[in-house]
Amino acid sequence: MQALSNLLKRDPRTKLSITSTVILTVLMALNVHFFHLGSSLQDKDIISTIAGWIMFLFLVTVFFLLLYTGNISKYRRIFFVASALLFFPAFIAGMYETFGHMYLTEENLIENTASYCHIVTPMVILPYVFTKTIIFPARIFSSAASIYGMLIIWLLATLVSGKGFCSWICFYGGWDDGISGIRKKPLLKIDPENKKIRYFGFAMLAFVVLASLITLTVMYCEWLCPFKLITEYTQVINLKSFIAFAIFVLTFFGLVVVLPLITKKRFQCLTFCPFGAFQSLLDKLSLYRVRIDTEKCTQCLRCISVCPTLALSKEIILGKKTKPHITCTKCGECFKACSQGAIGYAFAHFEKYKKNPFEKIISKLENHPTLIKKIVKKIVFTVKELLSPQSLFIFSSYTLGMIIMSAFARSTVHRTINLIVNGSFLFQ
Amino acid sequence: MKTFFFIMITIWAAVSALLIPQVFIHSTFIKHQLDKVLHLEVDPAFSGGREIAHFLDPVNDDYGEGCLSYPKHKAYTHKSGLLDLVKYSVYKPQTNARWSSEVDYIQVSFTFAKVNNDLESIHGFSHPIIHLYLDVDGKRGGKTETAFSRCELVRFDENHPWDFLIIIHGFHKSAKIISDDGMYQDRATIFADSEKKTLKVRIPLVYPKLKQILDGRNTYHYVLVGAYDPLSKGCFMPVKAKAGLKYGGGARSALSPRVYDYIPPEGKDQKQLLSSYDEDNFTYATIFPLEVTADLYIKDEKNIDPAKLAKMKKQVEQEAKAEYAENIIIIESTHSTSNTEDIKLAIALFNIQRLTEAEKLLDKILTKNPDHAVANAYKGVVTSQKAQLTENITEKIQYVEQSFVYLNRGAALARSDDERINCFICRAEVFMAIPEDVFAKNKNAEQDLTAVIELLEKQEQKNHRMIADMYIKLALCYLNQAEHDDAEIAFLKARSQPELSARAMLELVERGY
Amino acid sequence: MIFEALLLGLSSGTYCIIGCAPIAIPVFFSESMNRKKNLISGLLFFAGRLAGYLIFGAVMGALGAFTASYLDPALKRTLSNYAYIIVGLLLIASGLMYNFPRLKFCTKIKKIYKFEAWALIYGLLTGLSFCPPFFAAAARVYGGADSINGILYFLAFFLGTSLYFLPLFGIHLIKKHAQNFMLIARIVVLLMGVYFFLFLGIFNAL
Repeated sequence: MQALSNLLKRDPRTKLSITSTVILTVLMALNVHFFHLGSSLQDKDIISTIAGWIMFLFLVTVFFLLLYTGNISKYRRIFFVASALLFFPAFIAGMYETFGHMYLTEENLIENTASYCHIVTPMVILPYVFTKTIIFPARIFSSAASIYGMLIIWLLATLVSGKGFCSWICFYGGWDDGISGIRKKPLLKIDPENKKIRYFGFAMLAFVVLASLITLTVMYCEWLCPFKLITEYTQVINLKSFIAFAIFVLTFFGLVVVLPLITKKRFQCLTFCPFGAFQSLLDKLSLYRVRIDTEKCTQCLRCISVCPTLALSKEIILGKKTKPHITCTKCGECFKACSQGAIGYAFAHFEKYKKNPFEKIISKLENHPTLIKKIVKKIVFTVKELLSPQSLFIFSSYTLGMIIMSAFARSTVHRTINLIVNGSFLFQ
Repeated sequence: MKTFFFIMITIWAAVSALLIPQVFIHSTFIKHQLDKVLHLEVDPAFSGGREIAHFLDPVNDDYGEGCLSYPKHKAYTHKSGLLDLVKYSVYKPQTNARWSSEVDYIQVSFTFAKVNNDLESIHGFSHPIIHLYLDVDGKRGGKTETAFSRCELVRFDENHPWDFLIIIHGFHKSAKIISDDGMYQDRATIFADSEKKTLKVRIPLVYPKLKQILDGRNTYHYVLVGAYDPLSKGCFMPVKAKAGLKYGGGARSALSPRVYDYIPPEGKDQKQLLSSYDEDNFTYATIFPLEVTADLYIKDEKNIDPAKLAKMKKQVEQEAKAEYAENIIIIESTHSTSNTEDIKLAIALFNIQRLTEAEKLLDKILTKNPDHAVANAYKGVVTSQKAQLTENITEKIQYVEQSFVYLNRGAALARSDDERINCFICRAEVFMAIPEDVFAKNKNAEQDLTAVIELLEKQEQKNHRMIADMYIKLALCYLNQAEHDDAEIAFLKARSQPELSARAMLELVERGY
Repeated sequence: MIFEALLLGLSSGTYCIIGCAPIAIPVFFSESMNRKKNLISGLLFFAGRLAGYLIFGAVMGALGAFTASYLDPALKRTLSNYAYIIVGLLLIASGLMYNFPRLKFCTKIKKIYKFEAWALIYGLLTGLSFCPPFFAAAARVYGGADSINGILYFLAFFLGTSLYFLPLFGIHLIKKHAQNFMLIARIVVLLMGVYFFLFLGIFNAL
């Protein structure tokens, strides 16, 4: 009972009304049905159908709880970590089924069948400008991990979420996000004012882009990416490839596991991932951002220590700035920390606009509370909630994250059930 | 003003939130539209460099001097095309190659009409052996005799004596390179893709004489394909008058080249060249090389005469009108008296897109006989077309699911070859029409179309027009999966049919075949 | 012929950017965001680059390396490896000096560090090793006989390629975040140094 009431405990600052929650959840359920359940229903395999239903129920439930309780950071993290944990088993199993091993061989490269990952994007732009070719041996069209497939996802995610990609959509970020949330207090405190750490990711971006340009090869993938350990890497056949593999192992355990665990900061995403820094620069194109209401803010500074990407600092809060540093991933951790509800989602470019037209209508209706006007007021209130930046941002980002999960999540669940029932994780 | 912008932004945010799934559903279309603007391509250096020469060889010409036949060994029976080379490509030499074991190399590739691994070779290509002779310096050096005596039984053009031989077959991990003077021997990496029926070979540019092709000179290539026989001289299986277990047949002379397929230069004929031996003077047939110009980039422009194209388009229109008229005659003359008549009528109605009437008739057939294979198949197609017409996502998925039920049922219930052909074609068309990114059904379509082609080829009275149409559909199916090499072979096989519909001709001409 | 050289430079200048910008950008913008100072350093970088081409070309030409009208890629790789190692060490030294100024080692570097001279050296090393179109131009020049025309041909080619560097000066327009830009550039110098020294130099030589 206690657990259930904790689960359903609502945050008055960010919760939505039950009506709005139900409407948005039904809309989300239709989307989840199409992407996670739809294609499994025509499979004869009962396990596939069960897996589809498990994913459907999980995603719809998490979404409902996120909106109903208003505990954005908690349920977002559950969704995000699930995405990371469901991705790599399906990917590795797919590699074994298709190629018989997890590493890429020269055959894969010659046939351009490497999987195009979104992290590659910043590295291929300048070489494309100069050579008119993509310096990554992936498929152009077919499948989700193709160049055009990822390009569409990236464009859509940039316009919708911007840097929010790093907290809602990326299927790698769940690792350090989850691990950074394990401990209650950090063992090693990172000074939020430390500019070198905050901007190190941009130095990595510039370095990786320039290094990729000079060699016309995706340098980060070749030498540095920690997630090579759980996806695909080039075959270890000589000293050079062995060194690369050793670096992948060290960066994974160092930046993805150990440092986030002891500092409670998302070290990999903040300081190492070039795509994260790239999305920070492109965040201006996004429809949404996190806004600090300086009138409500009491400058208690509690939000500064909870931010996992050093996006809040004394410079921002005491300087009465209305938006966090460029490294903000729109994760919602600071919303919970702020007792005044001064931080929330807002439409970008609407810094000073405070008069919501719906508020005006609602206040007019409150003066003459007849039954019809009560109903109209309820409708207007619901519409206001549905069209609020918070609802729209969460709905959009969750939809995008959910669609990307559909490429691998059901497959992992299906394989896991298959492992329990038939003793095999692979389908062949 | 600010209120107006606020409202506009809110509406735009709400609309974009709802449209996100639509972007994914229509992603195939969006990708192709993006490609019209961006024309993205992967750096050709990863796949061996940009193609600088590309030689197509006719399909079904694996008969050497004109009448060679395959050996009687069971590995060869009923499997024509195993020694039929259809394409030879040469790529731009690469230096400082990334992610490659060969740092400086030139890549060549060989595509076959058919590949089989009955004899369990390492690379999946059990049957052919390829001898690629290269001349890199014109008349200056080289040999006009073959590397191994009494091997291929040919001699080379004295203006282009060979300098290097590359020996490629499926049983050694790498290809062997030898120079004409025997001073240089090395290994070349083989990349084999038996699904794509292509062998790629990367010839390392280490030896100075071979390395000099980096200066952009023309090179001359002799491409000879034989049947692999490890016990014969140079591993080229001998040929005699009559085929046996260990030798091919059809040879007219003791001097008949042991070459099943060879790509002659433009203007020359394989049969003529391979039969140019002189028994009286005991001289072998003289063959000529393919010229590869280093800076020649293959252009995608196809120079088609516009007048010819217009004429062909008119023929297509006339053919379509004739088909329409034929269907109208069937509709007007057929009376709904039996299932046989009903299905004929339903198909005719479907062909002229009177879908509502067709569906009613199909429902009538299925009510009387739910196990009518062809009716199930066409009902599936009609249902899938409803999915394309609706914008509602849930309805779309429902229609597609329903259509699969009918199509799969039809395919499972089909008994005769004709029924199977009809049902598989219906199913393949639906598979090809639905978004590949969401459903990934082109592979299934490929299987269905291959089965249809096999059934059509088995028939005594072959319908060549239909076979050609099916090969073209198969090629389009391969293109949907970005399998360009397989698509090319399918287009070539369509082209090799003795009879083609006007639509098929136009499709092939527009694609440069 | 000079016009042909200019056209060759213009058509292949993008490859020069690919080779030179990854060194030029972090080096200049870690030192200063001052346009005048960077213009002078930039010119010295170009001068070093030109000197590198001319010295290298003259030496290789004298050794007859271009008579084959192509440069042996194995030789080019060896030269590049050495150049990467040297440039890498210089970048590491600069990077340590900017990022850890209090280290004893770095105070020693500061004493001998004169940015303008180092810009010249960077240009020289870049010119000696990285630029692919240079080899194509050099093959035409040094394979021939006439040295004066050869040098003029080479100058025209060099001018053609240099036009592509002009947009780099637009980076000075980023006034708002100039300090952050410099901070980032200084970290990039160190990272690039490690990359050149280890990954492109030592590991490639193994």
